[in-house]
Amino acid sequence: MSLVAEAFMNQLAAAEPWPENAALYQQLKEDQILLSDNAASLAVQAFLQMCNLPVRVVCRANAEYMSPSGKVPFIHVGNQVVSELGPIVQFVKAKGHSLSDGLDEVQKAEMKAYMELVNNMLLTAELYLQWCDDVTVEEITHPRYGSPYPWPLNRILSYQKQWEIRRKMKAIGWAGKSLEQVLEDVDQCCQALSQRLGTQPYFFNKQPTELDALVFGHLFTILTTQLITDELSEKVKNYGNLTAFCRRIEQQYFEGHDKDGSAAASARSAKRSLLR
Amino acid sequence: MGTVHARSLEPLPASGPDFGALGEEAELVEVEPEAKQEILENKDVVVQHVHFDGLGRTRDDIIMYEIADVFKAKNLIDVMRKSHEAREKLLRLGIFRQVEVLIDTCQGDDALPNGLDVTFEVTELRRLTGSYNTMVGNNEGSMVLGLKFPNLLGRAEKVTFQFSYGTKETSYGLSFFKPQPGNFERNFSVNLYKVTGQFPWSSLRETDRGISTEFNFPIWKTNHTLKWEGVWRELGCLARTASFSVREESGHSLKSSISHAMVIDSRNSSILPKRGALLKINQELAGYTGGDVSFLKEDFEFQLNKQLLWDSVFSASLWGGMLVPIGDKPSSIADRFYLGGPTSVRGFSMYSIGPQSDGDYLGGEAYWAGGFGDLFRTHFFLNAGNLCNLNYGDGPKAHLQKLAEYIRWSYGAGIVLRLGNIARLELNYCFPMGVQSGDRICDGVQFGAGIRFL
Repeated sequence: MSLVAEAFMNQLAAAEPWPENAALYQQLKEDQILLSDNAASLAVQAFLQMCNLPVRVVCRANAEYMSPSGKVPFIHVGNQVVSELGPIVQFVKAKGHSLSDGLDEVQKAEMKAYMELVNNMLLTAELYLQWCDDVTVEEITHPRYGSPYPWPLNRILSYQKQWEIRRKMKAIGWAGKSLEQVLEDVDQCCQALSQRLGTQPYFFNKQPTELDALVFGHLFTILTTQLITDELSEKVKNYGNLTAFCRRIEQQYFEGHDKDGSAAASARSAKRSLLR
Repeated sequence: MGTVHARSLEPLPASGPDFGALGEEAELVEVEPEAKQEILENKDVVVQHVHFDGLGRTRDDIIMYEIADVFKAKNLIDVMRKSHEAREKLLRLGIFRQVEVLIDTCQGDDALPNGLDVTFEVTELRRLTGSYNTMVGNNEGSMVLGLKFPNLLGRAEKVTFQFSYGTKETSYGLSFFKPQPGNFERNFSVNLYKVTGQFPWSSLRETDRGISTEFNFPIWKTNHTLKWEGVWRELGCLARTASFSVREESGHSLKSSISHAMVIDSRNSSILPKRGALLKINQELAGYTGGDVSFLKEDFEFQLNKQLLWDSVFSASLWGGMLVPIGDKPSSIADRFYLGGPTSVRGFSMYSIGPQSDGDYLGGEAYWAGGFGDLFRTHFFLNAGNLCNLNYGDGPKAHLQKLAEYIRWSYGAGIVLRLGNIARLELNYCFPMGVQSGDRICDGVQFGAGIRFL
């Protein structure tokens, strides 16, 4: 479709109210989903909860391939399919819901900067740990990633994904890093976040924004996912206000809901099933 | 005569030459004017030697099988006919560029008065040959580049690498082919391939990477093929506007299936037949040899042609098929049947009959289609068909009922053109009827090119 036609379709879609049957798609919770994808999915779920928009979580083995951009999660709202947190925030804004309207320009720029920090540091560190650390790759990532597929497809697909991620790491200069260096980077990132958060309930004082959703998604997943070692979650636990922040958001937005898609249940089940 | 003639024997295959009975010779030496003709037609001959010139890497044993019949010839016309058949058989092996036959009387010490020498002068193909062709399929054309190693090990084995670039599909593949010596119709081949296809009627893109082995063998008048195939299929959306039902099918799957096909073809031509009939039955069972797709698929095609007065031909066809998924996984869009188009139910757009979602056609699990036509360079046709999904819980009566409701049909006339022996072109004016909501029609003028028409 041409750009003009797509813009027109988006305008039309924006006029429709949020439907009851909106769905969020991710990989299978118990056996398949990996740390980084779980974090992204949790971030989107938290954001939608904060906006008070109902969505049900649907788990499909081929969610990654269904997504128009190749990344999970994606939401199916009415006729539209939107993937990843950034575009979803834009999409929701077009429908008239926004969490960051109350911020001034300086704060918005700051929020964008911190979101970039999380994406460039935390997300990349998660990907590094999953795909470039040989022990984790062998024991956790390969078995989980290929679990819905029969042999030899499971091996082919997970090796293909591994080559792709490693190429990306090489391109951004992370291929040469050791695990200790990566954990150092995580520590620095957490330190920056902790300093910004301080003693406030949310990053921008009283109201949660998409930054809170993103940080919650990543930190909560790191804290509750069992990997080969606990080094990654230890780095986050060092900062008390971050763990308190995660608990606060969990209690406020996820507990007390009866839906299957509750973050706590999904993360905890991921934790149990990561024991191999 | 009364004398006994010694016959010479060459090292021979299992069936050796026939010895003409002595008694026959006694009758044959006549001295009348028509004797000349008789000598040619009725004179008893014996093929004493068969020579081969030009054999390089070809092994002797496969040659022996193809020329065995030449020794059985009893008179000159028979020798000529059997030599011609042997020449055809040798060319069919695909290992010779050229085969010339020379029949001469026998010379030398052991020559009989009615002995003949048959010499085959052959030129073997080079070890590596290249080719470039264009191919016409059903409403698609493609350009094919090939690299072939004919007669690799001396027994007509063939390794081919082929690259094909077409309007709907791009593919490349490597295949190894080996016929049974003496029985060219019985052969087996192993293929490795990668095919990428784009199907705009379903907004679907499919990439198949696979390996298959197949055995072909004739039984009486039928041709059978047994095949095992393992394919890694990757499905994706062709456009961002693909419907969600097609989007849900995106991803990877592995199909491992065994299939059997039987063909009986007595038509005089497959492109524009004047007489004869065709019956093709195909079944495929997937899932029991690995993979994650599990189904049983049946498919048949029947065609009958009869010549009527004034050089026109009446042709009737019936197609049908059924896909039964085994287990509780639903069938994949890549396995289902599609119907409609200028080569099947005319008057409807390509593969645009049946279940669809937002304009993307999803295919169906059962179909039938029938056609009548009258062919004489201009033709009239009447086509009908249906494609749907069946609810396998109900019995066969319910299935037949479901296939019988919502019949799409069409009639019309047009011009038919034959492209050599490769393809048929049709330009028709169609009136589609029985159109259901969701079908896409092409009423008015419709053009089609292909090899298999309803």
